[in-house]
Amino acid sequence: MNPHRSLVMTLLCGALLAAACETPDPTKAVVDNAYAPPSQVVVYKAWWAATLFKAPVAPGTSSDEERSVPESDFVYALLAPGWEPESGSPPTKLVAVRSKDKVKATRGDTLHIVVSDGTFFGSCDAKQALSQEDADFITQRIFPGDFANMIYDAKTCTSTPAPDADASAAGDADAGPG
Amino acid sequence: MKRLTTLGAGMVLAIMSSPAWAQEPAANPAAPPAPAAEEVTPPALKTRDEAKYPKEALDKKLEGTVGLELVVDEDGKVESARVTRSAGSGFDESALAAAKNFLFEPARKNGRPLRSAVQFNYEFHLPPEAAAPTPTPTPTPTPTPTPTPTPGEVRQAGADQSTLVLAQRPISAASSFAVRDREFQLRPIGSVQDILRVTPGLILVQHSGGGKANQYFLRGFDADHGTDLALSIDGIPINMVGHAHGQGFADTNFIIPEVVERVEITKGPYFAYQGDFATAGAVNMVSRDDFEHSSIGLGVSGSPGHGSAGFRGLLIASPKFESGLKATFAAEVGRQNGPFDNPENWDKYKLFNKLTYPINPTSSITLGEMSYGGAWHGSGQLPARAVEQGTVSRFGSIDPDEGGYTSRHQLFVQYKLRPSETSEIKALAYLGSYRFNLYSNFSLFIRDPDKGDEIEQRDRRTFYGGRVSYRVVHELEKVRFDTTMGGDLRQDDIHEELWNSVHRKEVLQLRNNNVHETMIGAWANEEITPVKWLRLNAGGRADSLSFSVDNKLAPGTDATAPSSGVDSANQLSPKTSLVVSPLQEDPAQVDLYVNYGHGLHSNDVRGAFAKPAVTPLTRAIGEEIGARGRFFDRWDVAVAFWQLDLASETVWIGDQGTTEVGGSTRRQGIELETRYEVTKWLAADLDVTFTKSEFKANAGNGSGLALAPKQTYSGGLSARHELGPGVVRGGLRFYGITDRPANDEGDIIAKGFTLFDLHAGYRLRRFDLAFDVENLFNQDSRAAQFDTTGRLRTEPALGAPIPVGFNCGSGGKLATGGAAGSFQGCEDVHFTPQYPLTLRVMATVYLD
Repeated sequence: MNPHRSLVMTLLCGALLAAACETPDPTKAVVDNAYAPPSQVVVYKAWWAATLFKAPVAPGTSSDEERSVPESDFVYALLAPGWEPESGSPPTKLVAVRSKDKVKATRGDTLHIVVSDGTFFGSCDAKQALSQEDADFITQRIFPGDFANMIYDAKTCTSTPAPDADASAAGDADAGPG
Repeated sequence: MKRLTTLGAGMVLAIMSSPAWAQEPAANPAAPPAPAAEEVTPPALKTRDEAKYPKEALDKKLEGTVGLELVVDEDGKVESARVTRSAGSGFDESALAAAKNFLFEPARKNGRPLRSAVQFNYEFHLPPEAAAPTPTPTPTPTPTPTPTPTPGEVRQAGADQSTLVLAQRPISAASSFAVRDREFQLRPIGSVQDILRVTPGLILVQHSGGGKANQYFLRGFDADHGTDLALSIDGIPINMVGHAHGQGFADTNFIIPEVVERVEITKGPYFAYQGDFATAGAVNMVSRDDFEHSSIGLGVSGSPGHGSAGFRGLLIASPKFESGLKATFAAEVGRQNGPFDNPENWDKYKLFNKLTYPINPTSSITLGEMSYGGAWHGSGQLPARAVEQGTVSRFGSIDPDEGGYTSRHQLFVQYKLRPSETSEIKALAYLGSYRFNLYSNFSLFIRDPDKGDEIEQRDRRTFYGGRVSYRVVHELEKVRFDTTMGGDLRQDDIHEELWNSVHRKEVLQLRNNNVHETMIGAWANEEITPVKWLRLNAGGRADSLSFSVDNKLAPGTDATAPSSGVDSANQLSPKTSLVVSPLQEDPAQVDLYVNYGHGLHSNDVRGAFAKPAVTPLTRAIGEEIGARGRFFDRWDVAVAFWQLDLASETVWIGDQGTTEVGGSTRRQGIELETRYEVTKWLAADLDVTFTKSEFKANAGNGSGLALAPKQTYSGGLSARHELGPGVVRGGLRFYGITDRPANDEGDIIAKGFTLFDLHAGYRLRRFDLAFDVENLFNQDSRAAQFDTTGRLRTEPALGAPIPVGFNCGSGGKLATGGAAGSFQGCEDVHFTPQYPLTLRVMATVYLD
């Protein structure tokens, strides 16, 4: 191969390799619990676009990074005020909240979802109650397993047993696929 | 004195300056090319005549290799030719006659033409052991755009694949033949799946990203990952019995496409040497013994506006040995991201090593090794309604944790022996290991509305086996008998598990099995040719499947899990064919075929110990009438009318670990296939299939059979021509499938598609640049499609009242079951998207 051809081939291959190696990382997402201590609000669970954050996030801490997709969507979460994740018992109270705005991530981003009264509706303590329709959407569709046979009142942020548990059928985590 | 330098597979080239033999070196394969001032280029074949397969050899079904030495003058004409290695049986004369009409681009030194001597082997090959019927001089069924060689392209001057005489390979049914790499070099080839597309009537689509086996459509089958299509490489089965994801799972991703020399295709259960899974058809890929050149290639691919680019690097080393040893070492690495929002990050490596040693003129032994490892993220099968409603984009993902990792390593030994001029023995032994972890989420949020329905399927196995065949041709009172017999064995020792998982972490084990499966087959075929225009085939095979299943789940964990047990099953499969050849001379050659045969596919043997239990072997019975003709030495046309009955459509649902028992089915179809050589450098082809598939018993649904393809089509133009100092090649191709029912009821439709691909390439001496465009018109279509009952996270919880106005999208419907008026999920098409317009560039440098 003469030197000119070698140079051309080297440049060509180099250009191809450089182009090919420019492969961005996947989109990731993290939940940041901005209810800093001494607040006792734990982010019990969160859902954004295609990503579930299933591990509780203590006040002032962040969740593990989860693989996600570029999307623009609301974030739905359940808050557990006063609950200690290490206690071993389930939370006695769950508050359904939704982000005030859609949250957007582009390809390769690591999205930080900041959960606080400033960024989410739904906390009755902050006097930012959700509409009952929005609350039902969260409790009956996004997290139905956590509100099975319960009725959630958006104005008081409390859950009470459904009058007819069999008929309410708000979803059962162990239900079969049919 | 001549100084010889090896330049290609089986080729020795000597450059000489006129008038006497000189001692100028040609090119040293081990050293960098000479500087321009001393540059010597070897002669390159420009035009050639196809050698005729000698009738005598054809009648006796002989193969041979003729060693030739040609003296090429300064004008590129063959000045003289002589045989250096005789093959007898008319091969010498045929090869000489053809070679004398070759025209070369003369060898050059510093641009000045030289006389030169070229030595190469001219190989004559019959088809593989499939060769049942009689060797009429039937021309190639593949398009044959004359491969005008690249000036200076040594490959074209030596024992090039294009000098192999394949045109006269006999075929046994109207629907079977072999395709060589010369054909698929004119197509976009980014993977082995692209090579398999040369099979008329076979449509492939990607399924949940590149790391998983493809979806194969053939003869009325949506052969989910390969259940009714037997795939193999060098005779080693690719299909996995009792696979954790699905019976017959056939992942071809471990194969480097460049090492495939030819593809042998048969359809229907008419071939005695074919066993498990060869019901709709069988495809065997044959790897190269060596390459003409060592090479380095680098490619990049991507879909503008979608996803991110990927790359592929390929190294091929094919050193030459005077002992006749042939060697190939190939390695591929790459990353593919696809057009997906959730990058595939499919990192992979592949190795291919093969040594073929000629023990003596009548026997050879081959050692081979293949390795593959890959890990990827999939984007799953998207519900059509989710895309329609804008919940997710076509290239989006609802569960970004899907994907998996896999590896496959295999060793093999082949031995060939010709005990006499008219007999042949072949033996193969192989040993492999395989690992597979797949994370999927098909129903999304039905089982677990909170954490999702992700599952993990694990498969660990060792597989080994072999096959041996003996073939002898003899004559008795002018009646020719071609006898073949053989046997095959395959053993799989499998451990497989099924889990519910979240974020790729196991949560609940659903299946845990150790499975041992042994399939033994013996077969024989007798071909009788009483007169030249008539061939009769009679044969059959016996298969025996022995197996044990060990259920490792804790007792009482799951009543639907298969229990432990030991069992066996056997089947005899008769096969017969009749071939009549009313026209055997130019300008028209016609063969008429009638075929009848039984075949089988095994079921996942875990189903034999489940309730309801399934039969371990499913019998297939096929009948076919067909014709194949060649006219005016440039037009091939074939038609086949076929029917295939399956005793049952019973399948193991790997995603649920359960058995789905189906009734017996019948598929009928017509296949049309034509190829036309428009000019010496341009060819056109078209394949069309029509298929009717139904259950024999009407279950009140019009006997509908879910996902069975109704019509498929493919075709295109292929060209190769000199352009400037090099050779340009190209192909414009299309393929497609029409709408088909996604469920047995036929009210959910899997939409069809038509896609166009473009290939262009340019070869200039030691450089090759290939450019592919897939999905040229950027069609928004669906690849793999399934009728799936699922739930999006935003849909009502299972069992909740169905809200007023709620629907499952324009193509879906509410799933039934449960309390009246309660939501049981949506039944809808879940699909993987076809790749959008995708560009691929591959640059290759040949090193010797």
